[in-house]
Amino acid sequence: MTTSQQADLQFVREMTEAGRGAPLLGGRIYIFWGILLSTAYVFQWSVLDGRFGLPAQALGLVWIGVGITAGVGMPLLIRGLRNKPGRGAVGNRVDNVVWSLSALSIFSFAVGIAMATAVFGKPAWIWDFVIAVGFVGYGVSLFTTGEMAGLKWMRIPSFIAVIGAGCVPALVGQPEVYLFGATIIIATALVPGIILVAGEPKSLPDES
Amino acid sequence: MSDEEFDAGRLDEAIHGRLRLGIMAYLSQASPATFNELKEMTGATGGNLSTHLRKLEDSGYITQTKSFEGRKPLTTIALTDAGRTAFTSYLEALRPLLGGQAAE
Repeated sequence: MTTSQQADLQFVREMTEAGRGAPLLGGRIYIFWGILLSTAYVFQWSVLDGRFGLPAQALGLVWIGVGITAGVGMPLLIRGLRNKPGRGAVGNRVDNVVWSLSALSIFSFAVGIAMATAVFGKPAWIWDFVIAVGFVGYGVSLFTTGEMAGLKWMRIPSFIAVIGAGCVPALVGQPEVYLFGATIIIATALVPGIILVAGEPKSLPDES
Repeated sequence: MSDEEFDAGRLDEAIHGRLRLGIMAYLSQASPATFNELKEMTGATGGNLSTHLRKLEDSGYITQTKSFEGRKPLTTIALTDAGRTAFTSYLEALRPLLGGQAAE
């Protein structure tokens, strides 16, 4: 094989590895949800624990606020990724798919709980189980994304999320379940998000 | 060593060539990609990259989609099924030359 052919093959190998090893780009979204949900959970704990003398109805406003913030923030965050290289890499496509399905599953469960409490008179504390369902979604999504992107460290937050889900039933019905939830969210969304953002490639210039 | 003999005639002319091969290699792992992404990764000039992308598109191995995000133009390049098959066949054709190991 000539030197030129060897150089060409080396180039092909480098290009393959550049595509395969493209960094995950979802870090900013992890941070966004990590801050948003942990803040909401701490607020929920403070209301349920009677810290500020706020009525339970305030919780409805908090979650409406979360929905509005997510509705405005997510499109902006996704738009900010448009010039990042590696969006088509397997890790990033899997990240997008598994988190989308996890979010849909959590939303579906929350709608079911809302129906159960509002229409069928089930007790309000069954809302606490949404935290466990969320953690299962986090665990599966973090593990799958990490494996596909070759990031073994993502197993740690995924296991924390799964173990956290198992702890929720013991805390159901107590305000502290939301403090626990906020702590797990910081460990499984905010911290991984910061690590991923630190490893993100720079945005490329706009196409001319 | 592989018993198979290298046959240069099996190499797909549409893929053969350093830049086109590099584009196909990158897209085999990260498709779709933007024009600027491929430009950055391959180190090619915009004009040169356009020329080679057109050759791959004419062969049906990639698609180029031109759109706008806000007011900014955005060209997205995706590997087609035919392109993936052709790239795999190309690597298979190279295997004898590499002593039985296809480039990964």
